[in-house]
Amino acid sequence: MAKTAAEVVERLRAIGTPGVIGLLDPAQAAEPDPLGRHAPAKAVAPPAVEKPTAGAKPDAEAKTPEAESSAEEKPSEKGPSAEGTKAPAKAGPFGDPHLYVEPAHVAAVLQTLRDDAELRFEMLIDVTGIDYKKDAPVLGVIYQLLSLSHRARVTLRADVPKVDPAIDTAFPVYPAADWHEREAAEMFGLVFRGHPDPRNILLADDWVGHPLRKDYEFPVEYHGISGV
Amino acid sequence: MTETGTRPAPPPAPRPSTEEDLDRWSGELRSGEREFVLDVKTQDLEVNMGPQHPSTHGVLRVLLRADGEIVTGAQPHLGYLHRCAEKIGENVEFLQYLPYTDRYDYLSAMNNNLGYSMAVEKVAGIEIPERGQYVRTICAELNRIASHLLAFGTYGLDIGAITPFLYAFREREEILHLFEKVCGARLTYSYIRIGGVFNDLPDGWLEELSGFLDVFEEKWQEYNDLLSFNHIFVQRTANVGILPPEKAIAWGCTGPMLRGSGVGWDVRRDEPYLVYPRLDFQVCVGRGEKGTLGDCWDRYFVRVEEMRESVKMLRQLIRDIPDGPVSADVPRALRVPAGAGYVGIENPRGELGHYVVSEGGKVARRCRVRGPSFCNLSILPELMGGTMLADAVAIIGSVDIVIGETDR
Repeated sequence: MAKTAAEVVERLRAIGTPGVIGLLDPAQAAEPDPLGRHAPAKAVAPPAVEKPTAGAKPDAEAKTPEAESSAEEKPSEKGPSAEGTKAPAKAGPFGDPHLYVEPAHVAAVLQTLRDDAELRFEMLIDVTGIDYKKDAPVLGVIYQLLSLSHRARVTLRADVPKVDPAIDTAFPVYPAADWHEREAAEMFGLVFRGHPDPRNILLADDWVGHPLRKDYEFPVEYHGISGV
Repeated sequence: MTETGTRPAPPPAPRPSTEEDLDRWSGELRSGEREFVLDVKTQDLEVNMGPQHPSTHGVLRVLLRADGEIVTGAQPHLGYLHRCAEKIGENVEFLQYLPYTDRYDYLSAMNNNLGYSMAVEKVAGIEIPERGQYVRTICAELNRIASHLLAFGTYGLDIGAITPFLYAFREREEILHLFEKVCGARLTYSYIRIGGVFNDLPDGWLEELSGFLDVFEEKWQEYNDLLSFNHIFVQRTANVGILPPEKAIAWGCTGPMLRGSGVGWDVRRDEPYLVYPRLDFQVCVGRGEKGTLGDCWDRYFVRVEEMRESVKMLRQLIRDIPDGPVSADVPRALRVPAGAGYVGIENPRGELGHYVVSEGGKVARRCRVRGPSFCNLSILPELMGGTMLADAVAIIGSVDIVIGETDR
């Protein structure tokens, strides 16, 4: 059975699941387009944005088994030392490694994660979006999965271009995605193809804009109610 | 509907001719009503429940579609209490966001503080001193009792039993007094902070807590006598709103909602955090004791039993708590190295998840809150279909939602 994110990737590759790009360490996971896949076409783009920082040693005291698997990954690009502060952190990056997948294959990967006997991620805990930067070319879609039988968790990330932020719905695989996807859609302007009920859920039906986008402008007025 | 009064002439064409047709027409209605039913046209009725309704525990609006007394559809409308918590999380510093966490599930603010602090600590790589972990666990469990007491009391209120509510609030008041001594607030504590807790426990507080637990254990039996095994209450809740385990898993239900369906999953035991691995406690699951597995009574009773387990844990914590500092040294303007992490903890209502993404500065890039009430409520249309209108209240109450959390 696969417990850590690295083992999950290994297993997915072993059974030939399409669309698995690889594993992101926590610091990469915080960056938009960490592998330079959506960078504007200029010169020959490097396959990965790699700027190894000197002095950042692999974290010896990883807090969780998930973090341990990322110890071999490259160190943080913007670690505490780069900021020059007295942050209490020893050596980053801390957090969860993310499983990075192609948006076109998300539904298939989720199906495999749920049904494969080695994986058995029965439960979808959360679906959400993320807008990394105002000028980032992509929006992230983040899935949190939980395996009750193997007591394991994995975080899935797919990047969709901001110009066409569409991705297949997870609803047929996990009905739990229903409301989470509605929320992510209204907050980020994501489009979940095939969602059975794509109405707003927390916002009013006629709300303009997507509040969790970094370029969102707060409304000055809504139906005669002053916003300032 | 009475049999007196003028009746319109029955429509000629679809009138049943044989006994078989008659059965099909009258459906599940009792045979005595058959003849009358045949020539009455019925129409679905839309009933608007909430947003101002005493049993929706806040401002939830449910649009019910009813065919007579039978609910054929339920459509929850959310967002009346949306306060943009996640947007605020991206605009204030890590420590400044803490008071906002109090306000999503305002009945278990300690657990909310804890969930957020743990997520930031995970991304920042902060270790908590031993005593700090014990104090955190004590507060989280005590808050769980307070929260379940309110769930217990208001559920009785929903069903029509007013007295248990008063009993529950009597004990809850004691807990709020204890919290007030710790941090000065009765509801929005902001006591558990990034790095540990705000301050050490006051002198003599643990003895006082111990005294409360002695009293509470006796009272716990009263709750069962009053409500849990009360015949009328069992009649109203057993076999109502049945949630089968496979459905609970597929819809992402967590906490007492999942355990009420017989799935033994508790983050405290299965993915231990704080000092839970050192504690001896049972994970309470529904057994279908009074009716079917996963009915409203099972969900209700899981909460009642969890209160007793929390008492058990608190006694062990009081016995074992070490001396030492309660908080790590965390700078006020905390800079968190770039990273992303998810932490889910067992809130009284289910798994409270925080997904924090830091870009390496003082402000989070993303602060996602996964509220258990939000996910547990999403199955409501499934639970309501085909039940009686009067059971709608019993079902909503058994989900135990806090609107501050569904809307955030």
